[in-house]
Amino acid sequence: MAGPVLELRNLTKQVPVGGQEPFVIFNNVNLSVKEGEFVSIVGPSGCGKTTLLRVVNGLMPPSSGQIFLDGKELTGADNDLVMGFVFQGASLLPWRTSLKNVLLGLEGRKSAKEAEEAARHYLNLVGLSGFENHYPHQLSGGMQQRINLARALAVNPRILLMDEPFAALDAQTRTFMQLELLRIWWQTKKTVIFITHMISEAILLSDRVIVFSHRPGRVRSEFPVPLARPRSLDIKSDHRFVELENVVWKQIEEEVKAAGGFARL
Amino acid sequence: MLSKELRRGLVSIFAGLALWEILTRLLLENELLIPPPSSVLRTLWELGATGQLNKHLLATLFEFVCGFSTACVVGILFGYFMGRYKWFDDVMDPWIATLYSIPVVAFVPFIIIWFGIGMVSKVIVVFKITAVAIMLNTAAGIKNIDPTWLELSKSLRLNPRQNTFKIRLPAALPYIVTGMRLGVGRAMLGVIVAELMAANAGLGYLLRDASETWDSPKLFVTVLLLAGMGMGSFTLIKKAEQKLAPWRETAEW
Repeated sequence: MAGPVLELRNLTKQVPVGGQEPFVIFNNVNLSVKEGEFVSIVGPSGCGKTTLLRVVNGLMPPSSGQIFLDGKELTGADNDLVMGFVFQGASLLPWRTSLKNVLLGLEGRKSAKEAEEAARHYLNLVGLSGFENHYPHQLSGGMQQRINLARALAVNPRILLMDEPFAALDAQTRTFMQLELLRIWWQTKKTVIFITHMISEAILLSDRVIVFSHRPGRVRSEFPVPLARPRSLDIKSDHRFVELENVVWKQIEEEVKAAGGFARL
Repeated sequence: MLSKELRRGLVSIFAGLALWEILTRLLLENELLIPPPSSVLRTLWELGATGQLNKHLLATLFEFVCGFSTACVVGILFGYFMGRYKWFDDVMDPWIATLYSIPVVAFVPFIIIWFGIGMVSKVIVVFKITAVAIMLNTAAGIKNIDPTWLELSKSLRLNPRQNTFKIRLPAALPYIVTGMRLGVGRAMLGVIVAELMAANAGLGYLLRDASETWDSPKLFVTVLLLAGMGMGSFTLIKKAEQKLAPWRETAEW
């Protein structure tokens, strides 16, 4: 087995504050993600999970530390499209149809024909064939998130970064989307980093759950999820699931208390 | 089959015309005050037959189209850079503010001194009015872009050209069209004022000619033509807006 797909070494992000100590968002994050692994990061609000993902994707530079992809260090000058980012809001372009939204990352990288084939393939994968020519405003929130996912997958990234993609969905749609993501992951076997607030979501989807501390965020602990795949909602009543959920919740509770208590959330 | 709304509108217009015809014939002896629709129509027919209508209508339309289209190009170009680069915005701001605040009536005499009474001066008037409106709106659209779209652009590693043409400009399109719509209305006024002041052709010239010869049917015809032109251009812009920004039909953002 080759080395990890993604490795973060002592990654730190701080933002300068005029005349004061810089504001540290996360500090010395070390994390390595294996090929085909589904890793979730959970943690109290404002612990820097989302910022971490943005730094990994190169949307903002780290203050210090290194990011390795397939053993090669990524620098700011690196401009290859190697990661797919699934945004929290679907962030679809309203002037483009579903198909054209999925095509966005492929345009100029593949021939028009190949690009369209790929886009149609991924729309089909997320269950939206037949909606190619719909505009985002004509689709429900769940469908918009499916397109968001298809757009990130379509560029065939080495790693998929998902930033609380289901946070804005209602509980029912959210559960369906989790099951869909399980299916899609099973079919694509992508390496995924998934950010969420919801512990049960993290356990249901992941091979490994990382718990982040309160700010400045760092890896507090990590738990392998000992549940076989393919999974269904039934595993939520498995005692191992319930126990893990409790353990993770205890830790997050401690972190929230250390950060100043629930009232500070 | 005509829609119910359109049918009611047409009935209303015809009823209004009929009433106007009857009242003017019954109550007024002098056509100078308010000519009945029949004599307005007759004048329209005569103007058409002598080729005068064509000449003046085309002159105004030509001035309008030339000024408007160059204003679109220049306005979008400058507006884009003003929206992208703060320093350029700062450099342009005092000039645009000055241009914007000069009333068109005060502006026209200079343009006529510099460019004569021909079509060029009118094209410039239309250009000035429209370009400023489009420029300011384009700049606002470029500045107000949703930051998540820029993140998306970065995440998908779009190159600068794609970033401009696939993200920023389409995002600013609703603003650009708003600028065009504002520009059309004002430019219409501008071109007529310029033609009223000094011209040898155009609807404004026709208006002045009719007014100086106390020819009220001709005056009416000109006003109707102006109304038609205004309505036509607004409809065109609206159609263009629906074509260019179909998501705006139901989505408010």
